[in-house]
Amino acid sequence: MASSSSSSLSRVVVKSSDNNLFVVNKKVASQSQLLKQCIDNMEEKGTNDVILIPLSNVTSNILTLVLEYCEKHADFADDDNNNQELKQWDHEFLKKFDYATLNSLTMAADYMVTKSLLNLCCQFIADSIKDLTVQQIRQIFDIKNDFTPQEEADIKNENAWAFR
Amino acid sequence: MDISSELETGLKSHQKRPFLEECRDKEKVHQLVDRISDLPDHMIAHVLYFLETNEAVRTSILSLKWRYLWKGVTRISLSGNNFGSGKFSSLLEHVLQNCTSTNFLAYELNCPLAVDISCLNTWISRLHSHIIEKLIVHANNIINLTLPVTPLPQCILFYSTLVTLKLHCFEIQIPESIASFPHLKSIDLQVIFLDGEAAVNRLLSCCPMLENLNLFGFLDDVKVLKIDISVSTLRKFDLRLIETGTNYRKKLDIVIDAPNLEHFYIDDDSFNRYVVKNLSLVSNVFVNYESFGLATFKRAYKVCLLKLFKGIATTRFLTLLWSTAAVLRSALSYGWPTFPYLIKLVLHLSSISGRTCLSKFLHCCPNLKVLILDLVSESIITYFYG
Repeated sequence: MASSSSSSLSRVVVKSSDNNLFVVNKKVASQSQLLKQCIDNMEEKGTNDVILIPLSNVTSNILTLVLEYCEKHADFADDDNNNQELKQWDHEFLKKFDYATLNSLTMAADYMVTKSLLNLCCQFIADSIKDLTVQQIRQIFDIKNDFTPQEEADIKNENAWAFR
Repeated sequence: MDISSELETGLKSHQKRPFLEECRDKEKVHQLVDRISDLPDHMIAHVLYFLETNEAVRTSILSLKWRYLWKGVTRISLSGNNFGSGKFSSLLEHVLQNCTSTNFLAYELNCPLAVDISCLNTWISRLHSHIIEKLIVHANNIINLTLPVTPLPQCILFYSTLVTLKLHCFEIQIPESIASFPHLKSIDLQVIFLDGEAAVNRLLSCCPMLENLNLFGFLDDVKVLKIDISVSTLRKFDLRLIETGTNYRKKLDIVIDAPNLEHFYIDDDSFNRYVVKNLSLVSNVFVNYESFGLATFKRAYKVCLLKLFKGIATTRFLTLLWSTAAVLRSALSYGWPTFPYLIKLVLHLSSISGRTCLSKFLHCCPNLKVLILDLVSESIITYFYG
């Protein structure tokens, strides 16, 4: 990535929780409100040094994915949110992950305040829950049923209509 | 260690451990977070936001942790199609009583047929103290095109925090003075206009931020003679005017003044009269201008269509359905406007709609780069007229 501008703020360095460093283009970083806020603050101070932003809650694996998402979305203008190509890309992007990765990605999107990615992940999880039976949801998401039979019957009774 | 040396060693260490290899190391990923239940509550609530409310309630049976999470949902979405009409109100009551959320954002009701208007008013006003951003109400199903007769619940007019408003199957009865919707960006109305000409105008004049407008109007029994869409912030406008009966009625005058409009979609099946002003930014236009079964066209219709074209002449993309082309064919002797910026034209043609208009149209588009001719619809049209 050749830098055309001499301004050091055209790029920032992001550090993952496992101490790997990522050089990120400012436009890409700005997809995350957390990173954008850091950049804005530094620019206000008039700093010309390289900014290092440590992300103590995000591992390299997940950070790579978040940055891949940000890079793609930075290529599209703001008002292209309904772009079909981008939507298709989003779907393909999430489809390849297992639920564990998806969970981590959702947490990272929340932590890094990347709202569109957070919505995308949550929508994706919701869509995968939608047509499943309770048993299937428990199985896929590895949720342990810790109700007593009586409690379970009570809930079913209370919200009977939802369990048809 | 200063940043640049840290950067150097950090990058080196990263190169030694390529990401893909680590990613295949599932074990490691699993150590981090392994279950959806490990998501914090507020994020599970966010997942529940995207579920229909009955689906969200169903998650209460998953485990102890999930038992009460649904009660914090910030969106209520119930569809009457999934239940009998009698059940719907008790379900909604159950949800409204049990939800403890203090910040509902979206309220979406798809009511079953023949819902009682006073109930509907009560339900809608129940969330009145919340900062609702999105309100969607389908009061009826119009699959069989029976006319809707539910007056607009007045309480909607108090939701001044709305960003998105979608009302299907309401009469528009808007009082003289209404609160403003300072944040409203998107309106989708599927309505009959009964309330004199000013109803739509009044609503629009209360929305200083409006960008998207979908107006699907039933013209039967219409008392309005003029619809004025003068919205300076409007960027996307879909207008569909439908007449379900065949009764003769007066044509509507539709005034559109939208200097920021980019996307303009007209589907008009009863030859209304258009006056378009200030559409200098319009770049994508779709026109279906027809009267079902009509084979000859009055002079006034042709003039009106050509005037409409003149108003949208700066567009870069244009799609014309076969019925529009049929009117054009009968207007070959008229003066047509030039489309100096048009680069893509999609034209649905048939022997009836007249391929004769094609060459004349091409003369009007000096910079056309892409022409898509759709001749497939011919068989359908022959069937209609056969």
